[in-house]
Amino acid sequence: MEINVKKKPDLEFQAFYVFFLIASIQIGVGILGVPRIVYLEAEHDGWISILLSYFYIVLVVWTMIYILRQYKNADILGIQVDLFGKWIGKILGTIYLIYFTIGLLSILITYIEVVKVYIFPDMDNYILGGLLLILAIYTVLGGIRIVVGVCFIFFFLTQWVHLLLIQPILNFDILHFQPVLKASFNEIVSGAKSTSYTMMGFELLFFIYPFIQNKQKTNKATQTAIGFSAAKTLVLTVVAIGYFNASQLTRREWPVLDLYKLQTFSFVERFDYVVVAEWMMVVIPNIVIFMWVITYGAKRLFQISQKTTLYIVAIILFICIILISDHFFIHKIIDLSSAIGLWIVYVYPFLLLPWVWIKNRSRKRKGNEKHAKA
Amino acid sequence: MQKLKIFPLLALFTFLAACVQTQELETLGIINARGVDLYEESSDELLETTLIVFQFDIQHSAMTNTIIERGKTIKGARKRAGYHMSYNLVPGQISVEMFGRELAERGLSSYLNGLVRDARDNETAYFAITDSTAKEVLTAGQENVAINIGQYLQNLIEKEMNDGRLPETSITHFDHMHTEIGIDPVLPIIDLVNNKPTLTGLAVFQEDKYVDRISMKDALLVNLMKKTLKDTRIEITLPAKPFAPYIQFDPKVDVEEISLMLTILKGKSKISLTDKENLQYETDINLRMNLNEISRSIKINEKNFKLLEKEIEKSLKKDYETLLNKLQEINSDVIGYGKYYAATLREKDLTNEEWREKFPEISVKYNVKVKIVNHGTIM
Repeated sequence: MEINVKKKPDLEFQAFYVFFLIASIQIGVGILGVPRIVYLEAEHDGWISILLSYFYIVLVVWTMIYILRQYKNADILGIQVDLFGKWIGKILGTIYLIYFTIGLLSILITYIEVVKVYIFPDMDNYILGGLLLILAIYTVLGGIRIVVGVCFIFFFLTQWVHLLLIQPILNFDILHFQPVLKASFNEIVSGAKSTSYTMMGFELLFFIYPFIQNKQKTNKATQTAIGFSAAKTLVLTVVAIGYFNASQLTRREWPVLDLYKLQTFSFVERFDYVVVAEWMMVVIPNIVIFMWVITYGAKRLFQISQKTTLYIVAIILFICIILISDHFFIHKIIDLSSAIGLWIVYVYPFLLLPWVWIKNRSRKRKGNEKHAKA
Repeated sequence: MQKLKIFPLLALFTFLAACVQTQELETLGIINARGVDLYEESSDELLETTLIVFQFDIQHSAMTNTIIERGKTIKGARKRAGYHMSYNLVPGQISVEMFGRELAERGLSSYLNGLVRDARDNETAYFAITDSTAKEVLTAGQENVAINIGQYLQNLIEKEMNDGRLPETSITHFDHMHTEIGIDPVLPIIDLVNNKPTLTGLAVFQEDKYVDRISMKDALLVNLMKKTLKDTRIEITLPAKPFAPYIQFDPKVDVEEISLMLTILKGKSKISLTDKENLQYETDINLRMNLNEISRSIKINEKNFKLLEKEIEKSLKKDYETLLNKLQEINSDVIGYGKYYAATLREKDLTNEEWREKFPEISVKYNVKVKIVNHGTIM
């Protein structure tokens, strides 16, 4: 397996688009419930938790980019093989792919559950699951550039939704945030930890890096994207804590959707219906990116053609979607996904860093020896 | 070749169209208003619901039906109501939910959770209490009001809310208020007056339990504490004595009171906890008003005007103090002083029981500032 990905100029895209990829994949279904999850840990100081987790992610992204810059044009799969050898490297790569598959599954089933609770209670899982997967297959067949395009367009199509938060903002109660820093430091940290599922997705950078045309701008685009996602999460959490009181917030499964439920206009009385439907535009980029990464990773690791993986993964997911509709089981999958993600996304890059240093040093020494011999 | 590829996809969509439950307007009975009472004639807790159902029909322009049915849960009663109807009853458009007082005295939270739990129920519906039974108000109202009673009540509540005389009253708001520590909810009371549904006062709650009622004037005072008022009319009665020398064209000098009709252009309030240990609060109220009508003609000049403002301030201050005394007596903190206390507690959270003990002991200093901006075209 090649460590560096061969450059294919027709598949490359500008670093500018990395913003849309990362921002799209970070904002998914997790954000619908994040105010409650943070509140359970850090109470009304949850907003500090989100800031804390943002600063941590900034560090993670820096580390990731530092690691990637040590190579000419490599992705994480290649880097792992380079660092740990063929076997361990490929096993680690496979873990990544499994993690992505579970993440993808958790997004699909959560969204289907939301639609079932809010709009169509007696709809079968396979209908929406099938539709979403068909769309995903269709997009991924177009390749990475189509995936990027979808993210770009859907990013702009979904931003207007936040204007609908006017009603809850008008009923905002600043007293809900007082006294500031009532939660202990530990509670704030565990609050930050609980946002991990929502903030995940920037690990994508490890995979798309070789496709970026002007790599020197990657850092800027990625940092803007995570800043954007963190700001969005922060605003929604602050509005939710400001609007709902403690007992409401801890009892509501998806506080963000309930915020939208308050907004009424004379032409549409129930905006939550619109928002749930609109949320499909948030979910599709997620599904599409995950799907593409899985197929691409399988091709890199095992030389399986992308189409084959695409169909196989789609069928596996489809079967899982039909089988899983129990609320608590869905939550187990989300928990599993966030538990794996916590290590792979948030801790692993730091563990990788010393290895990269060691490898670099030995490579330099070898280079020097070669020079000396010559 | 391209067409062949698209075909299976199109075929799939035709099949998919039938998979989701369809709801055509003509086959639906849209519930417009719902009244819930305690059914007295049975020993176990039965609820009696009165549904005002609206139906679109091809033959008739629009029909309104009243269905009365009993059940152990609100949704159970709705199911049973379906036995009387040839169409599906849907709750998504309920604009007013009305509860009888007896039920409200037992607490509304258990009935509320069904409304909040089901994502398809309309949470922005208005909530109201009636002193008699909801059944009476809705059925009598339906006979005596020209338009659909649900719509009538919705308009009535909405209008008063927009004018600032009634605090916010939706289901979400009630759910919010009764679960919040340190504040109690209020709801409008609608009774039959001359067989017409009329707004008669404000129900005061302890958490989700009805405890007492206050007048519509007090409702305005409470609302002023909760939000900034704009363009709200208020009637104030002042003792006539200080104005005696200025009363014009009036042979009877011995009037006791003068009533004023004023428009609050902008009314703001600010609550602050000045002494946490002794629970002393200060409340600043700033009002900019227009004078619309006086029951006795008073000669107006700069000096009188100041006097007028002073007297209004005094009167409002007294009103607020009486209101607070009454609220402390029934131990219901509808203004929300407890929230300000809770916001200062660092070590532990305030509980409702704790606040019930403390609320009767709080003292509030009301600083009312009135500025009359305009007095119309005559001096």
